[in-house]
Amino acid sequence: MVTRCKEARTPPAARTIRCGFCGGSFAEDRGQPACRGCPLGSGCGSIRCPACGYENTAAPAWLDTLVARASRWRRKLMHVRGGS
Amino acid sequence: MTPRTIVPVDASPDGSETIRRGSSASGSCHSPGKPTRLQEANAVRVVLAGAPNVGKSALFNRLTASYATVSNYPGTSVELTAGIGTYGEQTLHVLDSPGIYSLLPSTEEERVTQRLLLGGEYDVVVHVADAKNLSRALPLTLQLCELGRPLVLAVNMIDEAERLGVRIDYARLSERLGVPVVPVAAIDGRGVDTLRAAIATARGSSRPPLPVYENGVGEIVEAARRRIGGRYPVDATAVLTLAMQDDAEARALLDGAGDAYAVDVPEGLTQQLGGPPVYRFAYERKRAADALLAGVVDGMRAPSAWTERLGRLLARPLTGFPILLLVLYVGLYKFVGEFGAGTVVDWIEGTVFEEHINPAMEELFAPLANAALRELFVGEFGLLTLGLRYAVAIILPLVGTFFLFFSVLEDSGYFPRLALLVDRGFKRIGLSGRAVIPMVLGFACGTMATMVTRTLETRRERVMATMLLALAVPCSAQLGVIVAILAVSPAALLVWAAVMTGSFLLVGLLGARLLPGDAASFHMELPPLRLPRLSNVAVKTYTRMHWYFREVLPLFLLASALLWAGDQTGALPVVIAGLAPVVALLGLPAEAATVFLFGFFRRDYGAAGLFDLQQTGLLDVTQLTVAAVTLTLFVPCIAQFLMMLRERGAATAFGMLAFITPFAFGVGFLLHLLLRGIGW
Repeated sequence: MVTRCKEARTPPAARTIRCGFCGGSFAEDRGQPACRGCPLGSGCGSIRCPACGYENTAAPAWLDTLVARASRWRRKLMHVRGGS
Repeated sequence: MTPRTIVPVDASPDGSETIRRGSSASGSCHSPGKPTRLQEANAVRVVLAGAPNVGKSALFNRLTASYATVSNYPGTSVELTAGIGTYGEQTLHVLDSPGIYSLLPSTEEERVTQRLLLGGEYDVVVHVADAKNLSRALPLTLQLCELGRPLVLAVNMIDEAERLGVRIDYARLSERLGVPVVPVAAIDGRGVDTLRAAIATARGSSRPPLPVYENGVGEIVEAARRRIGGRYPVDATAVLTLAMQDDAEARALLDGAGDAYAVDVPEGLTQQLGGPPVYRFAYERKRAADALLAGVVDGMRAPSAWTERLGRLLARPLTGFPILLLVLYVGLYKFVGEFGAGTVVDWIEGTVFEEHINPAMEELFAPLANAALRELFVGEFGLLTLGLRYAVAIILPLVGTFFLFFSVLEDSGYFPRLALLVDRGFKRIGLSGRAVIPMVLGFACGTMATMVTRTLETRRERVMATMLLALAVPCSAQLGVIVAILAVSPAALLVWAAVMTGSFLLVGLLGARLLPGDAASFHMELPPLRLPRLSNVAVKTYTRMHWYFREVLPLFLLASALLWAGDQTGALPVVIAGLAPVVALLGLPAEAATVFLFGFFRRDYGAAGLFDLQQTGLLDVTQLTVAAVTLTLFVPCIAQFLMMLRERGAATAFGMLAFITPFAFGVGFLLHLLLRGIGW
């Protein structure tokens, strides 16, 4: 019988967050989620910078994607205008 | 004090050793097992050093695969992890040291690393640096060069740096530094074998070249070097530069070697160097690091000259405080107070709610026969006419404008400069500049800020910061509403700000006297100042507003429902009647008692009530000022209090509450007497 290995799914790369206080960059999964232990429960989406402890606002993924697409369109538009 | 030795890998000084991993079977360099006798004879003692959170532990795990032990450094509670790895016929005895930003320690952990490094009982130092923040790491590399021991620079997290588009010319950096530079990604093991080879080769290699410092610093170190005659476990340069920065450990080493005379007293050095030695050395090291990195790192923007100049102006007291006042005036008074409260709230509340939503809701609920049920939705404490209106028409526009202002400051890199600016003042009240982080966050959300106080170094600092957050740091919504209310009179706003600052300092100074201990020192590498990016600011503002609204709306609706229930059962008028004499002492009308009752639920709910009361024209400027002061100093919201309980324990949290409540009303009462007394 031929067995076929299931292709392992690579998890998506963690976003890089630039700390709003110390300016250091860290992968989202290396920051400590601030929600643990907060009486308000989850929802604020803050990510604590592992270097300085500042609570950074982590935008929802869809918003990040939207902003990235918008900036790509802007660059393309500028490129088209510059080229014409 | 404590002997300067590396903790043995297979024995613990205090018996607290724990085995972290079992041995592996293979003896290859990829999966090292128990070392052979030949390997033991070729043992290389390695110390991993570097700033916190640069992946030292991940790299340690990659380099070692067996016999890892955790034990306390002799005489301290600081844990050290030691492990064994192999490279060919060589054994690597690897020690993971506590994170340091510089060889000049400010915590017990950093002191342990300093002792390890100055002790010299190792063959190779591996400096683990973050590839994304190389310019911050290099000053420490230069200090490690001063030790005069074989050094390897492991540039870690290259995976993340590559994702950010950062490119590093490792060969050029290695050539300039005179030490091997190895790119590594500890997370996936990339470059670890090369690092093992570099460590094995570095053992017994020539010492790294000493860094060249300019502006007289290098000459003074060189002159001191010529004066000394004692022997040291490491190159005397490291000991001398630390002693010049008044480090007790280094001065003791010089004393022990009979070379104490080689280094001038701190005052003399300050005069010779043209500034405090700590700052002069840090500055020269940064300059040297920047020069080494010129043309080495690509893909990261270098700060321009004008941003550097502006950055310095922001952090210096003489210029920094006037700029801070200007920032607060424009951002808070003009933007949040006048634009947010004046224009946006007026439109949403006055036009959208008063003219459209409220009439529509009243019409919708008019057929409801049960008057009490109708009141629940559109009455005085109605879910729609009070809860929803407060949340949407008053609080949301105010926090929106405040968060926009906050995000601009955050994205520009202003906050770390603010930390430096207030560091000296904070030390007087037992805090360090690091406490700026929870204080700044407190202006967004006191609950989150209280949780962040756990990152402060000492218990004293944590208690002080929690207390000051609960007492004198208003949250975003409260600040927005208070600025909006007092925007009618700049003098009233000034009085409010003066009372808040005064209370902050008074309680801080008292706390510093009552709680024994030294103020923690604060070191921070400043990120470059930059123009805020519109997309960043918009995303941050939206995310914060979204979170805040989701949090606040259910609570506002719940508070409205509770007030409605109290009104219907007759309990509310009794409570308000009970509070009336207290508010009368503050010179406020009986209606203000409701506002304080609102404040028990949430400070922002109370502030919104005050805003509502001001709109009716029931309060004059003095009464508004007194009410705003009392409400700001008043007990924190329920969520913040729960966090205080969790972080500081019941005794401390209730103790703070017992102090804050009479203090708030006491200050309000005295302010009322004072303002009326001077005929305001």
